[in-house]
Amino acid sequence: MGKKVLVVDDSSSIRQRVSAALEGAGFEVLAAVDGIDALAKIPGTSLALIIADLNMPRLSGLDMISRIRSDERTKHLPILVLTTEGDPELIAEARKLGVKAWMVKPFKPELLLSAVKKLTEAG
Amino acid sequence: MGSQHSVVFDQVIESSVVDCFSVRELALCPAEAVRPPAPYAEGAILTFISLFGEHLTGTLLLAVRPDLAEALSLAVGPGGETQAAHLDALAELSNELLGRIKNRLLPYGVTFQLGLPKALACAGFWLHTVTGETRRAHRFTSPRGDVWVWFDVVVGPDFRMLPFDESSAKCLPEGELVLF
Repeated sequence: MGKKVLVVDDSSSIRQRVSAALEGAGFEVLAAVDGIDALAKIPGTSLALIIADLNMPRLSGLDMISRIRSDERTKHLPILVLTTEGDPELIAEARKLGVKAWMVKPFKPELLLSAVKKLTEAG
Repeated sequence: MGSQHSVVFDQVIESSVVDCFSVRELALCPAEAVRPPAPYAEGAILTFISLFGEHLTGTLLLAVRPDLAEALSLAVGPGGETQAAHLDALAELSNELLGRIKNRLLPYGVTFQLGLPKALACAGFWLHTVTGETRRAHRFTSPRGDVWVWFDVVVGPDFRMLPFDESSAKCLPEGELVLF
């Protein structure tokens, strides 16, 4: 079984595209539809990486990341933000929260895969 | 909204829409926006997403023919044939479009936050504004019919659009990745 990656995005088409990009390279891709759903799924799952959108219903990506970082069980998890936003202030905020990478949609599958490989090897 | 602001908004919206569809391998050509817009005899997929900032608020609306939405959805992969998938594909497109517009307005000192995109299928539609502002209508032709975009914004009295400043624009471009 490959390394587990959780993709958190309210768009099913994005979740599908991320899965297609990673599963062919041997990753096991799990999905969550928003931040609340992700927080429920993360504990007890041996994740190698989280790929998170920012603008989501119920709980935003940055709020979700804050909660992940404040939990002893999950604060070590590497996180890649995949969003439409390229705002340097948001990027700086995410970096302060320990985000490891930032990618602006629409994404190139091969670039996402190379980043995921790098981040999961580093972990 | 001042005419200078309108010119910048129009240029940013037009280039953003063309680029957004181009990465999905659909070539759009800007065309004159006739008023009122011709109805879609085959129905339409309509998406809308709000934007809100300190000095401006508004909504971006996007309308396409159902078969165009279907083509965009099928390009994502298997499972794209359902209407739910069509709506999701269009909602995500409008999300990416407004993100692109935001990134391109940042060098003018204009910033706002994005709301959540919504999409719906309809037999027809008409638009009504309660703001009294002139709605900016943009029409694009494509091999799969017209694409309509409305950028409906209200700016406050303190709204300022600065001269374009490339040096201040450290926005990460679409499709790019940065590792920390």
